Parts: sequence; C-alpha cells; structure tokens
Amino acid sequence: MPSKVNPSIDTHCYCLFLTFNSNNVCHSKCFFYSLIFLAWGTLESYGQLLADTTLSIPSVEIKSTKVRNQSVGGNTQAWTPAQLDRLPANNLAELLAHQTGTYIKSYGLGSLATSSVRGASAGHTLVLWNGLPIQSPMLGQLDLALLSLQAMESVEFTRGGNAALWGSGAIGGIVNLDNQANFSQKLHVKSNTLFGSFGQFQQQLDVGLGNQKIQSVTRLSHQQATNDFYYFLADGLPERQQTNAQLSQQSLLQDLYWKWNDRRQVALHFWHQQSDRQIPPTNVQNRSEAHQDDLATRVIMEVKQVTDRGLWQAKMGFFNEHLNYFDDLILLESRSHFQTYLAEITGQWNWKEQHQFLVGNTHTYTRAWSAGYRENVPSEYKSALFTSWKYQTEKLKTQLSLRQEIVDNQWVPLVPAFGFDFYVNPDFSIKGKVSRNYRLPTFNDRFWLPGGNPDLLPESGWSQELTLAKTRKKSGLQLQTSLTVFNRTIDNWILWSIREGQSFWSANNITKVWSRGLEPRLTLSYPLKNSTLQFRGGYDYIRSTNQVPLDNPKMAAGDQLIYTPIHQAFGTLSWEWKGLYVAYQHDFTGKTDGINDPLESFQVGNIRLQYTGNITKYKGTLFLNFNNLWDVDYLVVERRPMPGIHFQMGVKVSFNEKL
Amino acid sequence: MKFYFTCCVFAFYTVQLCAQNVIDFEGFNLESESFLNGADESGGFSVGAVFLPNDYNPDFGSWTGWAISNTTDVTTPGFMNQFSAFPGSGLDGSAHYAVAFSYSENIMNFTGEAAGQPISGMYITNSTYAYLSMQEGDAFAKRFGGITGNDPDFFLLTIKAYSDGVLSADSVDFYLADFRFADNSQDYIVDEWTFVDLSTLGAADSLSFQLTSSDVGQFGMNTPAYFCVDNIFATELVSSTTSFNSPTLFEVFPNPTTNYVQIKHSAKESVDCTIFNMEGKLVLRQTLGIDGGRIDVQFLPKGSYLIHLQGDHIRLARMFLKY
Repeated sequence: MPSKVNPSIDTHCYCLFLTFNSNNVCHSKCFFYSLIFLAWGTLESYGQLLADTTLSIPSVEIKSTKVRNQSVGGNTQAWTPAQLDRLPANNLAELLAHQTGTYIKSYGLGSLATSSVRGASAGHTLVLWNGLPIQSPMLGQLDLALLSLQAMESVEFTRGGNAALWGSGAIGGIVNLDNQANFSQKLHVKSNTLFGSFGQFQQQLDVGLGNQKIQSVTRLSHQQATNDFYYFLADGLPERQQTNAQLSQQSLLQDLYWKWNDRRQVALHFWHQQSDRQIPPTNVQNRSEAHQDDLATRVIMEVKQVTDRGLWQAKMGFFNEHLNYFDDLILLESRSHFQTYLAEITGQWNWKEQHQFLVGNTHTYTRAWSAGYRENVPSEYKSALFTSWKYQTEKLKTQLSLRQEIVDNQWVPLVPAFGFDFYVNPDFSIKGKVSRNYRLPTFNDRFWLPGGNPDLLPESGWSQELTLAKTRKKSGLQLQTSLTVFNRTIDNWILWSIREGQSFWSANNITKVWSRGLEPRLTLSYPLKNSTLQFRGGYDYIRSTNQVPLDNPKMAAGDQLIYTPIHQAFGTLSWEWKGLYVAYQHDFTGKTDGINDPLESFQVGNIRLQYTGNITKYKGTLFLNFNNLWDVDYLVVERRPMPGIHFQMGVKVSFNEKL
Repeated sequence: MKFYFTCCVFAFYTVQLCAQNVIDFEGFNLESESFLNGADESGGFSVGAVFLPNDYNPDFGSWTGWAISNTTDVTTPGFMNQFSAFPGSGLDGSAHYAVAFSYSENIMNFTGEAAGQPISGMYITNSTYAYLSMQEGDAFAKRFGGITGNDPDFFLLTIKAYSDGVLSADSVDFYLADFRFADNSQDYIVDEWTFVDLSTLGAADSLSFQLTSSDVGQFGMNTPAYFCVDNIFATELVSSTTSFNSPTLFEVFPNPTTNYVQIKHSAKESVDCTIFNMEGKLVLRQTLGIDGGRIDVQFLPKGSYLIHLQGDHIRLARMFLKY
C-alpha cells in the first residue's frame, strides 16, 4: 500500500478527508471543511486551501468522504483504483483475504466466497454500494467472489460493527464500494486483459467522457474460466481434475454525473451483472451437474447539496436480483428473486466548528419470490431514523450515534454507539468504540418452507474495541504499529438446525456467541535509492465461542465456532522502483473446525510482478501473478479443494486517465 | 448373496412359522409411480395389524415417519427421488413398499392380537436416495469409502423392540452399507431386498428403527436417513393382505438329509421352489404341487442350503443341511 496520497490528483475524491495538519494530527477545522466540501462541484474554490493542509498519512487509516461514513473510533482500510490496480486480487473476496486478514470462506476457485470478520458470520458483514446495502435480503449475505474490484473507484473496509449508522448486518465489518465522479476528466479509455491458468480470461473496457459539468463512465467486463485444475487427493492416488467448475460473468456499470451547479450534484449509477457458474463436486462426490445463475440489476440515483452550514444527500435505489440454482442430476430447479426499493435522506449540519450533527431517515421495501416460501410474495418494510453528534477538538474526537428502526410495525431495540479518537501526541493515538449492533432475520429465516420461523428475533448484542496506534519516523524509515482489542457478544444468534422432534431444518434463535480478540498491525516503509521497500502485515487472534450448549449443531458451551480460525496472519513485502513493482504476500490461516472434520492450518504465498510505463497520454501496465506460489495443497472449506500454483498475466492500457 | 444368508439365519430361528402373516403393501393399489406421504393427515398407515405412523406438517408440506410408495426410479439421485426403493420395486417385483424417513427414532406399531407377539422379521433395503448418495456422494454427504476408498464408513439400521413401553436392551443391527472391511472388495451397499431376522427381539408391541452413519457432522447425519421395508413377517396376525390359516405352513424333512427332502406346505396352490447354496447361488428349481413334493438333493455337495417357496400368496424360506 502506498503511504502517500497526492492532493493534486485527488481533490475530487480523496483528499477532502485526508486533512491533517503539519503535525500529522487530524485538525478539527480541516475535517469540518472536508465534510462541508463533499460535493464535488465545490472543490475548485477550496482546492488550494485543502492542498495547503493535506499531508501524507498512512494509507490504511483513511477517514471517509461520505456524509454518513464518519465512524469515529473504528479501523478503516481504503483502496484507490491505483492501489487496486497493483493488487493480485480480482474480486472483493480476494482483496479482503490478502489485504485485511479477513477469513474468507471460499468454496474454491470461482466459487462462492463469504467472510467472517472478527469471528462473526457471513451475514454480519454489511456490503454497501454507494452507501446502500446490497446484501441479499433472502440470504442475508453476499457472494464476495461476484463483486469485481475493477468496477469500483473506491473500496473501504471497516472492521467492527456500526449498526447505529448503517443498520442491520453491520456487526462484524462493513465494506463500502463506491463510484465517484472526476469532473476534470475528458475522454479517457482503459482496457484490461487478463489470461490465466485454468482457462481464465478477463476483458474489461472502461470509457469515460465528459467535461466539468457532465461525466459519463461506462464499464464493460467479461470473464470466464474453466477452473479445471488438478488437485491432490491422497498419497499414492493420482491427482483428480476438477469438473463442472466453469464460470462466466458479464457486467455493465454505467455512471452518469451532472454538476447542476457548484453546490449541487446529481448522480445515476446503473450496475447490471450476470454470472453463470457451475458448482463443482466435492472431493468425495463423483460428479455434479449443479449450476447457479445470478442476475443483478442495481440502480441508484443520488443528489447532493452543499449548504452554508452543512450538506444533505438524498438517494433512491432499486435492486432487482435473481438467483437461480439448478441441479440437472437431482432434477432440482430453484428460482428465487427479490426486488428492493430504497429511499434515504441524510442531512449534516455544523455548529461552531466543534460540533457536527447528522440526521438520516431510510425506507426499504423488499419483495421476494421463491417457490420455497410460505407466502406467495412475502414482503418487508423497514424504516429507520438515525442521528449522530460529533464533537471534536484538536486532540479529541467523539461521536455519539443513535438509531431506531421499525420493521413491519415491529420496533427493533434502540441502537446506540459511541466512539472516540484521542491523539495523545502526533505519533500516538488511542481510539475506541462501544456500540450495540443487530441483524434482522432474513427472508429465508422467516418464510422458508419448511423451517422458516416468522417469530424469530433479531440477533443483537454489544461490541467494544480499543486501538492504540503509534507512528515512528527515523532516517527515512517509517513505522506504523497498532494494536486493537475487541470484545463482542451476540444474543439470539440464528442457526438452522434440526430441532428435537423435527425432521426438517428450521431457523431458531438458539445461542449466544462471544467473540474477542487481538489485531496487531505493522507497516514498515523504507526508502531506498530511487525505490521504496515496504512491509505490511498483521495477525489476528480471535476467539469466537458458542455460549449455550447445543445438541444440534453439536456444540458445547465454550466451543470455537466452526470455520473460525483462532490464528490468522498476513504480510506483504513490496518493492517499487520507477515503474517496476514487485510484491510478495503470504497468508497463514490457522486450523479450524468444519462441519464434519477439522481443517488443517495452511500457508499460501502469492507474488506479483508489474511494470508500468507512460508514453504521452498512454499508460501501459504489464503484470504477472503467481498464486499459491509454493503449490500448497489446502482446503478452506472441507471437501472443497483449492488449486495449486497457478498464474495470471495481463496487460492494462489506458488513455488520458487521471486518477 | 447376503439376502440369502439373512434368510438362512431367519430360517434357523423361525422353527415354527405356523400361523404366520406376511404383511405387504399391495393393498394400497396406488397409481403407478406415486406415493402416500401422509398429506391426508391421517397420522399413518394401517396395514393389517401393523400401523406405520406418519407425521405430516401441512404448513411445511414435509413428512417424517413412514410413507407408502410404488415409485421405481433407481437412477435419479437426490431428495426429489426420496420415495424410491433401490431394487426398483417391492420384494420380488411387487409394486408397493414402505419408505421410512427420520433422523431420529422411527416407530412401527403392532395392533390387535399381534401386539406383544414375537416378530419374525421383514425385508429391508436402501432407498435410491440413500444408495446413490453413499455410492457417489452428493453436495452434503460423502461417497462411502472417502477419498481413498478406505474410510470405514457404514450406514447402520438398529432395530429394537418396545414391550409394555419398555425398550429392549437387545437389538438387531442391519448394515445398509458397510465399508469397514480391510479388504475393500468386501465393502457393500445393500441393493436388494434383504430379510432381517428380528426373532431375537422377542415379544414386541412396536419396533424402533434408528439410523446411524459414519458420515456425521456437527449438524447430525449427512447420509440421507431413509430405508425401505416390505413383507413384514409377524406372528398370529390377522392381516388384510396375506394370511395362512393352516397350522402347518411349511415343513422340510428329513433335516439333516442325505438324498432328498420332503416338503409340505398349506398354500393350496402350486409353488415355485428354489434352493440356494450359502453363497447365494441358485442350485435347483422345481415346481411343487398344492401339497408339496419331494426334491432329490443327492447331487448337492455337503453343506447348508436354503429352500425358498414362492407362490401367489406365500413367500417363505427354510434351511436344511445336506451331509
């Protein structure tokens, strides 16, 4: 990760919130300014001011641009397109796995991938696209392997919950995927072609066109893979070739931006994505003919208005998604479909520079179709009112948030949160957060036949976290360290299981989960002659235990949750010299329990070689990735083999691109 | 082969099968390729002196306990084919059979005079769903033998008897699949109707069936919890299906023998008599008259043999020893 953000190229998107004074301590006045100036149209008039006060900061600790994305006390990592471009990660699952230490439960190359952040479940990671949640309301989660990074201009990941601001599901972590305008762009074109092992082929074309009033960005992408890798079975047995594992995905993302005037901007985002994936057999299954088609159309329209004392933003969203699962072998055809309508308005006011108030109101209406549901077309209406008060001085920043949500005329418990950042000195800070978080039952939890339970309660609980961060600079060496300790309990944890006297699986609030852990992080940068050497790494110690003895699933009180390793570590060593970039990343995942068997710990290494050069307005990048460099045989999900060493190589060409 | 081994055991222990009834399910007369899964919410199926409980949930459209079926699909894996017996029919090509499904205890009740009487046995086999899951694996359950073929997997049906509300300590274990052999060539998944001798359980008001598998995870058994039953042999039953009123149903004498066996039965019909060796190989077939007949066994090697009688209304087995 680069450690500097250049304000001269980032004024439209990023530097607004990177407003540090010369002591590298966040300055309250600057922060207010940056929030006020969020509307892109106002930037020209304040650019100089910001440039004067913006210095380089650790890239892993970025404060947010968005009206609501202002969590104080939490830990956020963010990536710009330039940073994403040099990572050997094509989708969100790979990014989180290798860059954040998040445990990604991957069913194999190109297959389903979900996350477990701080020992939480897959449904406890909230994914937002331009500020609106895109989780499937039917499943409560999202397949992170389907979210291509190339379609995004900004990716942020926050460890820890923040349901007070973001609502249901923001328990373990929050991912924010954003598309943002750059009104300084004219015609710009970017092409990205990738070939790789196992029939992998990706082609992406981005075309941007516009002026200082209107911008259009069109992104077309196609990827395919056979994923027919050979994998190890057992000593003395020949390797087996993966079958029925083909992937095909196409997407179109269209962004339109209109700068109405210097204080108002209108944006329209349209994202259409289609994926056809075969579901390969397990390593103890002879064959599979299952395949899954995902079709998603998402539209968001937003208006931002800057006022003298603040900013307001209105959004409307419409998500229409299909998930169709077929298994020709067992004559199964399962089609599901949902539509979500969202409306949201948020306002932010500043008072006397030290105070900032935020009020927001969201409305969400969802309908879902599935032959498996007890009702023809079950629906859900949610409305939430949320507010926060932020107070900040030169050394202290606090934020108190509150949310009240009502779901189908049922009140969800009041959700408060409090966070603080305290800068003891320019090199040492303490920050912490206490919040109540919750997750509503999904449509499947409530309506599935059999087993759906309309009387389910929301999962809810409290979380606390505290982070100590220290920065040192000496002889060009820059050292950033941090240690986060967290604690979280979730009551009414929903599990699907066969209950006593039942012959079918059903959803019930049957347990309580206690998660706690440590997250040390280290970033070390050392400038060599004309080059930079950087190491960034982290370790997670996570205990996430079931607190209620259960017969089904068979878990004693104190047992670690399945698919939740206690130990995880990751590290990336990179070297950059002129246009050459070399990075080696190494991940360690400790042993964990699966549903049937324990899973052994494993270590995987990846390497990326990249060269970027410019000729006039053209920029070209050649890259080569070797994944699983040490050809390790490992399983993330039991019975689901992962590929050995494999490569990706490609070329990126851009014309007139300004990042 | 295992079928006839089982029958031999059965024959040893059922010295007297007088006044035996064979409860089958042909009386249901279902349309072809159909099933009853309790959707009428009657709570079960009465067949002669046997009652097979069924718990149907109208809200969920799900069932547990017993179903009656005549579906014949032996190739489609998965739960969409949950009502088929793997042999493709009931016993000996009959149409109907019972399907049991439960991850917990499954009960078979005996009513009337049959309650409290010994149960001789019944024919049991795998459902297609369970068989193909064990043979090929599926998205949830493993292929038996595992990756190497050496995993000591098993799919076990344990049968116990309830008498006066007390569950018997004794049990009969019937392996619907057994991969625990050191020699993998001996591994098997039951693919035909197999007689399971229950006479050792003694008097029973009801029978308890419990499935267990080596393929079990935190959420319970992965192997589909299904098995199929046909032709229940009970004592002193008053059956609506097949009954024999003669006090002497089936006699084989002399036993042991050297040259011939004399067979008597009371089927009042000609029957097909087949003799199998202990390897399950057919060694002799002969049609007997309505009173029975004499069969020359001089040419047979010394050893134990099984005589099987098959008529329109009977299906019986006995064992004899040739020396």
